[in-house]
Amino acid sequence: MLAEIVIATALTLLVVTSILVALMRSTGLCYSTAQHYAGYSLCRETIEQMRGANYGMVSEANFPSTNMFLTHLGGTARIPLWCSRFCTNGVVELSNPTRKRVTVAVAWSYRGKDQLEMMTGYIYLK
Amino acid sequence: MTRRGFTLIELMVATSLTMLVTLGSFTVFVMVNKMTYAGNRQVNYTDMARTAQNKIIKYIEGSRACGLLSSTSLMLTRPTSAGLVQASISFVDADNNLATVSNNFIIYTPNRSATNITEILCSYVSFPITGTNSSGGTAYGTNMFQMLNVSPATVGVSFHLGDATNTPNTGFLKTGYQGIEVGFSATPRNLQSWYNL
Repeated sequence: MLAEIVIATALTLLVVTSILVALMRSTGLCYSTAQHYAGYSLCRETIEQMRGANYGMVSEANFPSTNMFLTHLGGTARIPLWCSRFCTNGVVELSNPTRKRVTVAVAWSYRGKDQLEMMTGYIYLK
Repeated sequence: MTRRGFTLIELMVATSLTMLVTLGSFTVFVMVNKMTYAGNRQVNYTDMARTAQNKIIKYIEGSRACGLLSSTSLMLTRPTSAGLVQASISFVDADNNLATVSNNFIIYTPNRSATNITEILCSYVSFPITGTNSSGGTAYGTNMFQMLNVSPATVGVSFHLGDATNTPNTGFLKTGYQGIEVGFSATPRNLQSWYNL
């Protein structure tokens, strides 16, 4: 009799713990999605600035790697989350038609895992 | 006659375990409630940010030129069938209290001569987070719009969309602070063509 109760209790705890872990994971993914969206915006920002700049100015030297603020961690830990935005080896000259393929990446670390958001675009000579 | 049933010890252990499980379940229920609420808010804010960003980019790119009215207001010159008109994208704090964010809006006014026609692009807006101060606290900037040096007409836009700065750990659920930083830039397309020539 007692054994049955103990087993039932253990099973209940197992199920409840599983639900809790799944929910924690899904909440983490909500924050991760927001971070990737913020990273996407920052990539898009650089490509937009390259598009606005003179064609000759579009180079890695003129758009160097920068450490910047991505978003915050959310939840009770409202801590700013930092990232690095770079286009290392990200500007490639192409011909027919003359254009530059630019790749911008934003990298950061969240819960011990490295995250990366990357965007590629083309800047045409006008 | 042999009587079948629980002994006192079995009954006490079973009662204790039941109470333990009930207490645990209640705690988990409260935690699940909190996390679901927090997750929903975060998804909601991310969605709101995505919509607002797309609209702001569309209005800036659709204009012919733009300039700053203030650090929280952007003026756009846009072509219409009746000629060029001045539009604006502005931050509005409806109750002059930055801490109450549900009525902090970014609004689009398609014609500044007719200010009664406006479109709310997003709510729950506050100034952008710029990092941490010397004591480790979160620091906030004051510019939502700025002209970038890289191109004469490129506008940098940055703001925070989410819970107010005074909300962490408050309320019944104590879910903390949800939200997202929005940072991007956009260029009026016509002016960009002239500049590159």
